Amino acid sequence: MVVELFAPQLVRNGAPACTLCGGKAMNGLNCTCASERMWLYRASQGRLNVPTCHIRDLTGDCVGGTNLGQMQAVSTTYGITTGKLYQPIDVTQVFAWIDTGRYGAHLNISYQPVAGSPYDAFAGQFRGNHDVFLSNRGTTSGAIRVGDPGASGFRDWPKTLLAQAAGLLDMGGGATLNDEAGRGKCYAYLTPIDPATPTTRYRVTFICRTTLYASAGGAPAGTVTSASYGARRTLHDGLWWYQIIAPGSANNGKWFKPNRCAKITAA
Amino acid sequence: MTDDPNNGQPDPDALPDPTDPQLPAEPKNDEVPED
Repeated sequence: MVVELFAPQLVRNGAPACTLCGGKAMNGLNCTCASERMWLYRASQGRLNVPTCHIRDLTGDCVGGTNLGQMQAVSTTYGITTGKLYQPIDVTQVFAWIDTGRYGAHLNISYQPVAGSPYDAFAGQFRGNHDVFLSNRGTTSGAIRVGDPGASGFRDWPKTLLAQAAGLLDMGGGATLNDEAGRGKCYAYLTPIDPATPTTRYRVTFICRTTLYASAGGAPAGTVTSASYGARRTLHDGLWWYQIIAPGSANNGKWFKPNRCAKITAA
Repeated sequence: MTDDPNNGQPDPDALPDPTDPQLPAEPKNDEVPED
């Protein structure tokens, strides 16, 4: 399971107001920092949940937006040095890595082709350089699961749109990345590879009522009072969560938190 | 019990290092509208 956290940049989407640099409001400038929050969470497998505003503060940059080189320095601050910054790389290669389900990535884009599309988080009011976080393969082979810091959650975007937007990145002086590096390239900062899927299995026996959840950290999805299942565990937001593995059961795939009613042993 | 899924071998999904030439430009993101 991919360990992911969505981080919004705008106050209207629930991000706390970010005021730095002598009282300057920074939220509108912090898309790259919000993506870095998602990146750090993924890279640390849920151990690091760093406020977006603090990431901005760590850059020490009070002018305009931020870039991926600055984010690489922030990652190093937290001891994460094995991410890879590509400036540029083939965008199809980045998609292939994301499709493995074992990487996340910053992707620099121009919002120009996104504006006015169904994926536009700014109602046609923004066409500049932006940064999004690629979290996982999408539900179809032609899509990627994207965290746009201007939106309110993850959403599948077409790869074709992402590739187009990546190529139109404004490099300054009126040149796009297409102009500078040729078509089909992008600027991306990949997380370290996720740990290989653990094969540790557990046995859980419920002896009293336990709430089940649709996902780790997600919405409640019923309860169980007396049953015994296989399970696996994963770290989410710094806490262990367990997923029931019981094909054929209505509770298969649901999640629970360790508690006194759930007796857990290694299988 | 925990197995090593790669049997001690390098992970086949490992990323390569960036190759030269890397472009010098480090474009920043632009400011987005709040509403």
